[in-house]
Amino acid sequence: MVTPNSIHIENNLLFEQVLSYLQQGKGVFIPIKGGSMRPFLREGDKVLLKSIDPNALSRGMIVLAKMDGRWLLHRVVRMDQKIVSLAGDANVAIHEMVAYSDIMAVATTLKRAGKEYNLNDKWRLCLGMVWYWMRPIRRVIRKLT
Amino acid sequence: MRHVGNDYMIVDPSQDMVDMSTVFNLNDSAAWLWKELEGREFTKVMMIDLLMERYEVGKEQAEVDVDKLVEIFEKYKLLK
Repeated sequence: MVTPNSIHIENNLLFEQVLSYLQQGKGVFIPIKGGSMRPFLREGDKVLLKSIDPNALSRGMIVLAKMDGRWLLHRVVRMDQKIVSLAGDANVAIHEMVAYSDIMAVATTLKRAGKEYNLNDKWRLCLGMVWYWMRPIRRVIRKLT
Repeated sequence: MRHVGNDYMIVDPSQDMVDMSTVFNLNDSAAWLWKELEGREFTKVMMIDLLMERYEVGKEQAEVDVDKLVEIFEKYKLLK
């Protein structure tokens, strides 16, 4: 009659629910699927999402954004007047360009193996950006290996 | 409880946080029962009566089902 965990909810449906909780001012833990944010976020991790004022955004933050009907949890790497560029940590080339209004939430806390980490302390934001700036080197390494 | 796609789902709304990685999936009859009883105190007898009224099952079957359901609810701490 009741089955815990292990049910798969389609992304759009899941994030519809997430959005409605965010709008109520609640934080929402979601499980990480896929490896687009490796090595910083891994499958099996959970992150806490909270809604965010666009003015409070900064580079290095990991945000939930909707782009062309697709949901992304990627890192903010560049902020222009109207456009925010996002990048997956595992990716060495691609950026996603979104409007400020497409950014639905920011990941504030990482839960891994029972421990919690603040994703938005200066050190972690900085580390995320350094990893991003290493893209050219990572590209070369990827080709060599 | 929310209706998500074709499923009914209970999310544990602990304090100001919702954990979407521990959600519970209910079938139609369990979902219907949950909806009937949501927000009020209830007993197993009430649950059995409700099931018998709605699904035309015998008392014995209803008792067995309710016992199972309550056991699961308690196991995952879904009841106050």
